[in-house]
Amino acid sequence: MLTDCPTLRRIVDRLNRYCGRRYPDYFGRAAKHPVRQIKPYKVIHDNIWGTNRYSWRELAIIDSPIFQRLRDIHQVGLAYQVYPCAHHTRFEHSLGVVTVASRAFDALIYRHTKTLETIANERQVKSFPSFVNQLREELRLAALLHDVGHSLFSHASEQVYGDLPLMRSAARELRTLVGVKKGAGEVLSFCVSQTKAVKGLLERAYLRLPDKFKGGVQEIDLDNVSLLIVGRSKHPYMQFMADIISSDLDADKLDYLLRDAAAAGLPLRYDLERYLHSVGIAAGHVPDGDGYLQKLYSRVGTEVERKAATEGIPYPHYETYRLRLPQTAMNTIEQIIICKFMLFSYIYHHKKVRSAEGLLGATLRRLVTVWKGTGKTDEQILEQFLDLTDSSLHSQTLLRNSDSQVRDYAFRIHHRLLPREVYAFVASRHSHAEGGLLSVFIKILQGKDLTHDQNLRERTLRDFNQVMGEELCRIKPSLGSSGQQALWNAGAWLDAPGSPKFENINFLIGAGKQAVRLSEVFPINYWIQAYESHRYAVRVFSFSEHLPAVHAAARIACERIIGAKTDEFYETAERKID
Amino acid sequence: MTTGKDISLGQFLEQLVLRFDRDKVTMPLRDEKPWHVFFYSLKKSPEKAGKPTFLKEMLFDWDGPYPRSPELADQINAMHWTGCVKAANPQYDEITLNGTVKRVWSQAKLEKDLSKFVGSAVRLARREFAP
Repeated sequence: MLTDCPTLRRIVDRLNRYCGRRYPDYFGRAAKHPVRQIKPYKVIHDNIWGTNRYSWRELAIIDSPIFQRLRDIHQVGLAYQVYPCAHHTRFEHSLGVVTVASRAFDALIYRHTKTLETIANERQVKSFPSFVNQLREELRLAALLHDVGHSLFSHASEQVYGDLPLMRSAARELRTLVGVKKGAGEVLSFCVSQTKAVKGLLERAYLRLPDKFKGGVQEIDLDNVSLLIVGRSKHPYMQFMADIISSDLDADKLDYLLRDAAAAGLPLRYDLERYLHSVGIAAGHVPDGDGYLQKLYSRVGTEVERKAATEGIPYPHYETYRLRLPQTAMNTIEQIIICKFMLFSYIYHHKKVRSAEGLLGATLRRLVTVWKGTGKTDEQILEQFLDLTDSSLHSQTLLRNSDSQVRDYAFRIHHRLLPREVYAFVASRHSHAEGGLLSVFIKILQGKDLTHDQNLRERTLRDFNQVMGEELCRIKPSLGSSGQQALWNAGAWLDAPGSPKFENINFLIGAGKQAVRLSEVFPINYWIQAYESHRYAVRVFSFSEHLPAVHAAARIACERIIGAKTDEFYETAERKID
Repeated sequence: MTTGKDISLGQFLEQLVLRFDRDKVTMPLRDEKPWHVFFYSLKKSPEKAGKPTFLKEMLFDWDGPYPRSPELADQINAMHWTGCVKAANPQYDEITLNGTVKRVWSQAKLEKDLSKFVGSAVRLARREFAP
């Protein structure tokens, strides 16, 4: 499958060797796990979804170190520094996604058997029950492995290793392989699922299964599992399966919305039963104007007709079946969207969460610089990230690192000595004449702008921080002799989080000619824009002991970079300094 | 002087919006599809002087009913919620430019070929955005 994807292949090979070296008993040449006879299934109890069964294949993965490490990776990063109970991890989330994904699948089997039989007939499947079993097993395995590539504090570190040239190149290759943009964490999960290490573990698990159960074992296709993780399937008819794992209203979201809210103690709910009652499959088409899918299906050996463009569908395309919700499920969809909004507002964009994760991001970037200084390659750095889990914060890697900068910041995160807000710029608060200048500034900081040579957002952030650093040196020379040093010692930076992504805008409600985009029946655009306009903030942070100096330096940087000069502009944005 | 080689997607969008505003081309906001289809057409258009280099690098997702660039979607939405452009309720169909923003964006100096390319893009958009 990875022909013409040299970077992805390089990462898969590297991960394979890493797994064998790091966990020889599980993935090495003389691997012996699972040591004992494996049970056909086990029951695991979850605080959100109750009692659930996991099959022998899933247990082999769950009991392996590449999955067990997720026990030590907080689902919502450092949010526990604000919400003390938000200690839930990627481990229980991944188990939860398996449960929700298979419940969605079972609901489809129960209510749309005929459509599935049609698909099976079109694919000339010999046994329908065996076909359904295989789909279910592949779906559950993909759900289980979907976050296996995460590193410490989840998305906080993803942004750092995602910036490695190796990962950027891999993300681009994956994008052209499957025709959809995916994050660095998903790229790594995809790569892990492609390793011989995982395949070998599952083969050994089969050998440890009691003979009396072997007869009923369903063969699965690990390539399809990998594709499901990144929102594709080996056959276009099975796209609805990928939609369950990775789409606008996927099992991942359905789990984390409830789990994050429950762990943080937020009274947010949506009606899963109604979702399961409504969810369906509808025939449709997936356009393929750039030929990515044609290449993919050819690589995985799927023979399927690529239809030519027509008047109604102006691109070459494949017939497909997609996950759909009817208009009668609007209440549930609205609940899900509202839950997501609330989580952004309460947790992900909380000023202290941003402060803690900004500090962690700076620490990890510094760590990468130190590693690069010792000659480590991107592949080696990636391995380091796979070694890191949240406990590493207290370990030699961070808290006792030989680099004093890494050590100091890790100490501050560990003891919650977090930077405070100096300024918070919110687009809608500045309605006077200089508000337009702020609009232009914040717009530049949004999204990853595309340029031939350099990223405008990064350049603007760099320019702002450079001016702020130089001014800090001048105002408070004890902070350091260079701008960079002063910024580091003052814990000062300009924070511009990514705006909330609501891909649901394009989610189709209903089927066939009656299908409409969600945005046409629910004013989601207005909600998003109202949220972003009134509640999204670009902030300047500083350690408490340097607030006055950073306050003065940041104002000068703002005057130079944003161009706003009046006191009124800054009074609106400044936070209280004791 | 900004050239096709160094203009970014965000800057190109700003220049387009300035011209749309001047030439009274109605810009969609609620429905993103025309924007994505328009940019996909630009990407596929024959190479010529002034054609921005970023268009070559631009990748589109093929997961919905039309090619969609997440980067473009980010830029369009950010333009609105930051207040660079205003859209009237309840349709959110017609975009008007904020006065200060218009002044700032107008300060950009485009190289002649790039300026010509923006002009031809406006003509294409007029067709793509037509109801």
